[in-house]
Amino acid sequence: MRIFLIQDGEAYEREIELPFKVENIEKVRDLDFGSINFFPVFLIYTDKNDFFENTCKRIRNNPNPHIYLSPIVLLETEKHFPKRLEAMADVVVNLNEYNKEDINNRTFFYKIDKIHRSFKNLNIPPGTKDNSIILKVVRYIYTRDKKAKPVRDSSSIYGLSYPHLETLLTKEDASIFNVLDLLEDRKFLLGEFFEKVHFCNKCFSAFLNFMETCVNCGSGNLSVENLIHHFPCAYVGPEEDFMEGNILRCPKCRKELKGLGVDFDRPTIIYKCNDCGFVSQDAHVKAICFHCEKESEPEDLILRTIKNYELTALGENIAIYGMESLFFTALKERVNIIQYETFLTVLKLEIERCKRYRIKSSLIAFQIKNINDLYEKLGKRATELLKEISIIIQTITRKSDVISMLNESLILILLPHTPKEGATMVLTRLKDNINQLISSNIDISLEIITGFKEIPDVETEPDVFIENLLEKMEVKEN
Amino acid sequence: MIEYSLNYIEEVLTYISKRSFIELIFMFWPFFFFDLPRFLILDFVCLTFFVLKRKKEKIKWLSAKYMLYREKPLISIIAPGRNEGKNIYKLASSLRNQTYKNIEIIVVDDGSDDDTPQILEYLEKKGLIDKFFRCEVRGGKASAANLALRYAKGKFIVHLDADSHLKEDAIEKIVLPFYMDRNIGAVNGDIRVRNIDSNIITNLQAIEYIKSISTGRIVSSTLGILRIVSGAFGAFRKDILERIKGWDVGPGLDGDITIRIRKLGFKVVHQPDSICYTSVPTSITKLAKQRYRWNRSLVRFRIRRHRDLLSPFNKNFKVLNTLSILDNLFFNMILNFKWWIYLFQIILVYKSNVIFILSINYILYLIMNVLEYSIAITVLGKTFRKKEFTLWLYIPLMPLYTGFFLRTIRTFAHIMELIFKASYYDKWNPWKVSKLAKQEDIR
Repeated sequence: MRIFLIQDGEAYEREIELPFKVENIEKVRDLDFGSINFFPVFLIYTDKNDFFENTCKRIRNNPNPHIYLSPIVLLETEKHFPKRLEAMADVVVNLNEYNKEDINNRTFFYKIDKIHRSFKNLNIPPGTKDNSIILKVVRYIYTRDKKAKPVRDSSSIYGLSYPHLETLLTKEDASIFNVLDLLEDRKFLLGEFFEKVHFCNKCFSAFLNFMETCVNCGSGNLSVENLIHHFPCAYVGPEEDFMEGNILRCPKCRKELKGLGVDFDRPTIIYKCNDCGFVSQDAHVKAICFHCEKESEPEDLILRTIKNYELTALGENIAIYGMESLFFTALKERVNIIQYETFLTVLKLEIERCKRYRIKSSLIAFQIKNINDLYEKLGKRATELLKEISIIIQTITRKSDVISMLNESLILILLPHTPKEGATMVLTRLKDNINQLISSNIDISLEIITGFKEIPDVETEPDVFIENLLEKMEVKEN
Repeated sequence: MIEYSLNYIEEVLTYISKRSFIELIFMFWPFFFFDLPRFLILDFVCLTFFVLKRKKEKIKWLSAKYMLYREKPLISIIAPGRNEGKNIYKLASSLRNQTYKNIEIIVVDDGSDDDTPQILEYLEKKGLIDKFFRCEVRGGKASAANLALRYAKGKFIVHLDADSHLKEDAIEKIVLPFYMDRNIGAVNGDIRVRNIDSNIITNLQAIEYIKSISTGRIVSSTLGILRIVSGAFGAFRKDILERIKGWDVGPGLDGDITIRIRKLGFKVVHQPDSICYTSVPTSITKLAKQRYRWNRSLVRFRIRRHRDLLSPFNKNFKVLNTLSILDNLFFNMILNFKWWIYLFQIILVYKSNVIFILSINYILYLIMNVLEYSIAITVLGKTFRKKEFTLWLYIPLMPLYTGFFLRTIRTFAHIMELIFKASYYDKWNPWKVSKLAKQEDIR
């Protein structure tokens, strides 16, 4: 286990005395992850919120499981970080508050060891890159006690959120809720009710001011009159009419009120607008966002159930052995997808066949670059969209075409007896139909990149042939 | 049949012709000493006076109308009720069609358990009513009216029953008396039967309303002894209602508030040209229950709560107020008991001729009813609807309706209230209110 101590520019100059014994600390100002294939621990020593948050994100955004699943230890000094930021770390140590003698190696490393032990259970071949956000979240939860709990913090715009999981995402929005919904829908996670939260429908902030306003003029300047009905004389008036010091006395019959339900009741509450004078039993409730100042009707707000999540057995299995991409799953229901290794063999045969019989075939590739955006934005609805895309691919391709997937989002299609004109036409139709589907259903712009290569070519080795095609497309596998 | 009837009338006339004048007077004393002078002669005199006065005050009337439209005060129309949702649309429509437009309509739902709240919410959204208040738990009519009063902004308050609707100029006409005499505190509107066509019961009530309210209250008003402003349709000065802090617990809260206004020294008048059409009970049982309730309130309010009016030593003693109570007590209560004494007398004295005497009584009261109705048509005929002219057909039943049916209920109600204070057990008020009124001996 190698330990990296990451410090910001100012903190770098300072000498720190750690409250636990660790050896081989590598002190770094910034971190170049390179190709780490061991299990590191990151100690972050800074007073700066931004530095800590950005460092966490850099670590968690990395597709290498060794890096994004590694433990992060936050070393605080005088300053306590907000709860949201503290939740991004696996261990928080306040250097001022911890007494060296109180904390020994065993207690400090307990949690780190636990993460390490969980990590070792994962089936991660060398060079693995988890590009799927779904797999990243599942694996992260697996290594953190298989649980994900929301954190309440006023410094977070969501008020109640999952900051440790948010760092896995590339975008700073509310996508984590959609991702968790999707995972629960796929039965990878089991959600248990924690709390319901209203969010602004514009900026997703949970900091809303719910106001009672006048149903006539919309003013919030209302006074509330709690009416009292005195049974013996039928007098009805606001409680203020009855107040005489500490007792309630009827202004009509001058009798002292005995008790609620005995000689009086409270028939209703009246809202009186101090601006327009309108009187009503009902007040109109509206919500104003503290963040973006948008006024909304309560029914227009986003109401989300925040849950405590726990990994299911299926989720554990996915975490350990990886997963077929959702796209692959959706696609294979419609078309025959062959293994990549088999595809290489077929491609090799086709290259040879084309050469021998002087015929022309084509290999086309297309990739949805920001497929994770679909998961993040659409949550469980992403599955339906992928099914629709699969139908398009099924409709456009012929039964004699050979289809394979290089990774979660890159599809290779071998079109036998199809010269480059035919390949271009297939690609254009694919792009047009998918774009049309997306634009008429959701407001995400998908980055679809495509490429094709005619067979025969000077290159005869199938893997190099594909590599050349991808380079031409400027698609680099992560 | 005709031959038999003619023979019977001949026998009756023969019987009468054999009696001396004194003997006849003794034989029919209730009619000659009380009912004829009070309900025919006095009515005739007062109505004649009213017609002449109305002609004389035509300019005053026009001047009042000018002042009303110059000032254009807001008039708050309040309609408290329970389970009345189905009636409110018609009421609100008739109010929106009024010649006087500066009105606010406030409806109070007193703990309805049907779809009334939804109907009222809809009408409020549609703008047919201005304010709608809902009391989740029933509090009684008085508290519902007081809730409306609390949030009414008008200079005048018009109290309506939810199952009523108004003639298009009713609101304008009911507030005009306030501009004719500054001492008027409340105005009673004329009440006619809306569901006149329903059955014979409603036809009889229609005649009764014309006699007792349309013309009867003109007489009381002319004499200055009007004792009730109907909850079904009455107008009040808001400042006075605020001074007396609204209605007291019923039943009979409309009569009670009228007396309280009179006690303050304000006049209470009847406005026969301002017409409200209200639904009346359609079955004997419902009618009997309604009258049983109304008649008990006479005892509870006139004898118990406001008996101070009868005392000449009372610092607020006023002759007209006392007369108003006495008229009510004498003709509705004491003479009601007198009828049973009379019945007892004729059975004892005239044994075998009881049927004859009752038949003659019937003829006498029939003639009186015909004359009363004729006078009503003469005075108010212009305001009658076609169907009100056809009520002649039912007049022969009126002596039986008023003489036996209503009188029996009235007697029973008076006895029950005098002895058992039955009004405290009336379901018309919520139990929590009645129980407390009884416990604390609230009169």
